[in-house]
Amino acid sequence: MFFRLFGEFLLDRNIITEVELDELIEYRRNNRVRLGELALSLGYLTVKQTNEINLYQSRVDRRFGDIAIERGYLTEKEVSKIMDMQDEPYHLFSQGIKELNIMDQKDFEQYVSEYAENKGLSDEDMIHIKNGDLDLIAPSIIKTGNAPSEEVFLLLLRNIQRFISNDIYFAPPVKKTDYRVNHISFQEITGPFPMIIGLCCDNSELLTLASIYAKEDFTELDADSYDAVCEFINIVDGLFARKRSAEGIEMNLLPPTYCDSLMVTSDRDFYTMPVKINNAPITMFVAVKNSNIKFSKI
Amino acid sequence: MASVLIVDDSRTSRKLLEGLLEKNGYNIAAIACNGEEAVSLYRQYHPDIVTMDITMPVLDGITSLKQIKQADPKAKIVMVTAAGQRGKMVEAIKYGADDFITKPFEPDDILNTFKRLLT
Repeated sequence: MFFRLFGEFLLDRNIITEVELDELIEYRRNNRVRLGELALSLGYLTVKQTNEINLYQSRVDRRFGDIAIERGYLTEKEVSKIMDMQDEPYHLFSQGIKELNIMDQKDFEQYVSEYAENKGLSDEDMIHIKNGDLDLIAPSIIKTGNAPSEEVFLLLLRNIQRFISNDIYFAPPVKKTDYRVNHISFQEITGPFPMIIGLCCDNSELLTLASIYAKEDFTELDADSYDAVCEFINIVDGLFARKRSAEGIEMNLLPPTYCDSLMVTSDRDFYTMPVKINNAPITMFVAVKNSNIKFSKI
Repeated sequence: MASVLIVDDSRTSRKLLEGLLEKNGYNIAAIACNGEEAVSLYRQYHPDIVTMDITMPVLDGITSLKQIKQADPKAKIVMVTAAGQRGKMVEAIKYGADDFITKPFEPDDILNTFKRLLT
């Protein structure tokens, strides 16, 4: 997620190109952070020590950490700490931009600071973003002033990450009173927190989610691919309803459905939230149904 | 090899369940898209076990459960729910549901439930 969130920021400012961002995303899929790079960035090793271990490692089939400990350059505790950090996307991004000759470390760190300032993120927020921890990142981005809708947006993102892809990018929710939709799958929940929850797209971007979720290669938005999107929404709404049920609040899920070419209007705000899944843009839709919301076929 | 009737209005859900059960040695006797089809197919195939989605069009899962159990009190029926509504689960138990599984499907949960009911 850090790759997309920060990568899209750099792209918007023409600091990197789309090709470079694609290369970084591909790099992330095929690489891990090298222990030597991490140890160097933390100041645990010098460049000379890192090069020495790398050279030795190229001749023998032994792990970097074991060699470093044996030579007294690192302690077991330090190696353990570095190994925990290997999965942090921030460090992999840093390694990637250097290996792909996109920018140097100094510029990278400066842009990270600019990103934080631009998004109004605290140091703590940035730690969560660097770690790619969605549950900790989301509260600083998903702000609607309506707790159930915020919870649903987070549930949608969490389950996209769980079932569909970790390659996601999202922007803050937007309030609307009218919205033109080309393709939408949605479900109504009734009960004390009535809502309509949906996923929309302009062209056929929902096919990405449908194909991955159903483990089928859908090529067009038809009854079968929409069914997969509907079932995904049903799962997410079910998780919301189960949580309410545990609190003693009964919610009811109506069968999900889908439609093309709709105009959505309401006398109160509803929310849309853009998300990219594997670079395919879709929109999450949440309407709190105490408003006079209308779906009109165009 | 135990036979199963899968009942769900979601094609995706039916396919996921079918794939899991076939992979683990179950024979899929039939597949229904709503409760009405489920009752008819049960009478025809008498499967060893039924998975029954609760929320379906035409005839919902609880009504279908009731009708199958009236026709065959020994029918083994596992209710499938996304929302886990307490009220519906109580109602299903009242009409003889044998167990519940929740969506998203956890393979071990489903297989252990089947194993328990069929021994």
